[in-house]
Amino acid sequence: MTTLARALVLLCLLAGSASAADWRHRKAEYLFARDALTPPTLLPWQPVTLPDRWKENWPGITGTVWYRVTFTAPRAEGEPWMVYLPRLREGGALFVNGRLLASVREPGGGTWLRWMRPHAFVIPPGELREGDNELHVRVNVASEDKTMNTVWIGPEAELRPLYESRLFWTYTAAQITIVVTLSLSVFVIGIWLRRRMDFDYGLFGLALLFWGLHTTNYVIQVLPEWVWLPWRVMRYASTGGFVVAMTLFMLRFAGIRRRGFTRAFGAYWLTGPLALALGGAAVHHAVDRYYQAGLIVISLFMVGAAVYAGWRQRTPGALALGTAVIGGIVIGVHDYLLSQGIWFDPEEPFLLYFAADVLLIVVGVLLADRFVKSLGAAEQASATLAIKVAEKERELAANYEQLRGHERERAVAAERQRMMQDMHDGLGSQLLTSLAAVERGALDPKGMAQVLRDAMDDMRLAIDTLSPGREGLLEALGNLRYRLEPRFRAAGIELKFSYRDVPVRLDIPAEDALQILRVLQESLTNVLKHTHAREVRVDISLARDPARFVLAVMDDGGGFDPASPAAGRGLSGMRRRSQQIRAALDVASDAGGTRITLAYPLTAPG
Amino acid sequence: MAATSVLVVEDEPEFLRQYCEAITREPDFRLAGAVGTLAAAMAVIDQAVPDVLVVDLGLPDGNGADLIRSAAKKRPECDALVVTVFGDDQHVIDAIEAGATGYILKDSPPGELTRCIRELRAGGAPISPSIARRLLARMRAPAEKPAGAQAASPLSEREAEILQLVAKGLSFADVSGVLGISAHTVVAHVKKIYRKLSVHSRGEAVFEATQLGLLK
Repeated sequence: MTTLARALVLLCLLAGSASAADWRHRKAEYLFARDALTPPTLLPWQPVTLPDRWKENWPGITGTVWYRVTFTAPRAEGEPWMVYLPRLREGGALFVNGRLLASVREPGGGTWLRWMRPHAFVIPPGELREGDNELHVRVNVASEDKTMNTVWIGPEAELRPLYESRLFWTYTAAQITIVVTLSLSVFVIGIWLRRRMDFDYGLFGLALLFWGLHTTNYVIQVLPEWVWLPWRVMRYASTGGFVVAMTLFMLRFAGIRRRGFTRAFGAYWLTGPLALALGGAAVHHAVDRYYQAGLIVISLFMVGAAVYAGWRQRTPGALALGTAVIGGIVIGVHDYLLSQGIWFDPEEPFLLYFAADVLLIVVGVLLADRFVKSLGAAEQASATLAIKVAEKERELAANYEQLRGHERERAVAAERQRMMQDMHDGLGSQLLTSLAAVERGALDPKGMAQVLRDAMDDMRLAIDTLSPGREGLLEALGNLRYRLEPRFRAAGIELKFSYRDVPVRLDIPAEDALQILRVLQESLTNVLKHTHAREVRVDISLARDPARFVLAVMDDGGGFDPASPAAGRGLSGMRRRSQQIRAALDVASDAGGTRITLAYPLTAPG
Repeated sequence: MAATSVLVVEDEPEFLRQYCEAITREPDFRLAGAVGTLAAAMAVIDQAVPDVLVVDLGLPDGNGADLIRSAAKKRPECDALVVTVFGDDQHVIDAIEAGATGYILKDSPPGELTRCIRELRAGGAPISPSIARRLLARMRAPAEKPAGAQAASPLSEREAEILQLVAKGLSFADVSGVLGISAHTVVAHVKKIYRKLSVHSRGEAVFEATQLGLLK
């Protein structure tokens, strides 16, 4: 990917610097003259080959220089021509055949400038004449850094694409880079400051920031003079900062984490800007040459780390990074040599920021990948957590279900125990006693019928209090009455029930309710069996202080003799049941009738 | 007035004999038949459905409720009296759903059977508190299925009132006192309730069958 992008960039640059028809003028003449308008041809013009490097050709000389380029215009009329200057770093004025074509702003008057962008001007039709024409360029040479570069003169149709291409790659692309890197750096550094995750992200954010600041050098071309020094300091700080941040990043990427590197590179980063800030313009050249050379040395660590990482990790990301770094370093060296005027055609554009862009893109992709992966891991972790929680929930539900199962089993067992106990004490012993009596021959059929009927009644009571959902003692009382009514009717006794202050819901446990019902049933069947009552009344009420459920059975039979064995048996059974449920039993009998009262204490309020 | 014809279906000979004696003792009753199996009973009602059926639910060859259902279909005004050992809810409710309008305990005093038949013929029906409670729950529960559709409960206000009072343990006499209506009206209401449950449960069966796609 990196190689492809780099190839694309180079292709475009090549397209911008070469043309089928060579309209490039390398041959020119120069003249030192202060004239405001084109100096006469008679004066001693000297030939020169462009680009004309002042530092080499005219060391120590400054002033106004005129360059003259002679060119042949076409015979054909109507085709517009244009002058294209790939680089006119410090501006100047252009004249065609002695008439001013354009003036490009020059330094001076408190303004520092350096044009990184190309310039092009259309020659108005009619200005050209058939045959030889002359282009004059007047430049002011303020420092010996000045270079007069080549001049292109030709049909607009052919030169404009070259101009626009160069404008894009030297100027517009830089603007794009600034916007993208600075916005990204705000984003990345913002994330890093908030999350404080890997320092890699911080370094990458810093590299983006420095690179964005560095690239402003290609875009901001005119400055007030007093800003020049801080501007320059910023430039070295950003260039150095980028190199140091990227190198540290690459070392960490390669798995090399030494505080020594961070400190040494960090300290070196400060030296250049500090030296320039303190030393001022006087040390500018030294800083420019040696500080940047030092940065190249630091970059070698970047290269080393990138190569090491690529070789060791063998991942596509590491290999791409290594390739991008090496490419970048090559271009960086190129730019350095170019800026120092050591090697290359000075007209060549600086390439470093493309290389840096590629490098930043690769790193960005790598870090984004890592970020997404760590997000994925976090999501997976939370998904795992959710699964674990669900598992726990299921376990809890299962436990709860088990618990409920146990609870149910316990309830069933308790109910079973209650029934067994009840059968044992009640029906079972009743049947056994009767069996013994029958075997002894002591029970006549009538007596036996009575025993069996009692057993049936008892069973029905037990069933009444057995099934779940039966919450009301009142309902059970009603059922008992409903069952016994036909018998009382048959016996010609009126059975009356009355309720006083009894709530629908009475919180009485089933086993206690059963005993209360048994006492009532026993009392009522006693009336049937033993008295000649005409009416029996059952009063059910609540008493206060302490709260009691009171059941009273009154008949108008002749009373009974408590001393008789049968009555004694019946009474002792009722007493036993009352005691079991801590209820008070009161039996009163006289000639007028019998009154049996049972008071059951209610523990729960209400 | 023609004598009330009664068919007794009871598989235990002792009780069968007892019930037949009780019926034949009354001059206004006529014993239409006394059988011990469901098949025999079905054969009898195939000929003619009597005025009253006295049915033990647990027959050796089937459920007495089936007999009640067939008889009710053939002759809706036929009264079915169920004989049960415990008077427990489920058996009684099943019988009422099949079309029974009363039940008596198997060991009721001899006069009770004929008294009960007379009550049924007079348009009344007995009910115990726990059956009343079960009926209330039974006939209200479906009403709660469609939200806000009150018409779904087949019980009239008065009928629900009677069931509530009986479920609290009040006798018919008490209920008639509380509501200011005659005891006879109360039992007539109960019989209507029984009929409604029977129709209602048939309707429910149809509804469920339609849901299942058994009926179109």
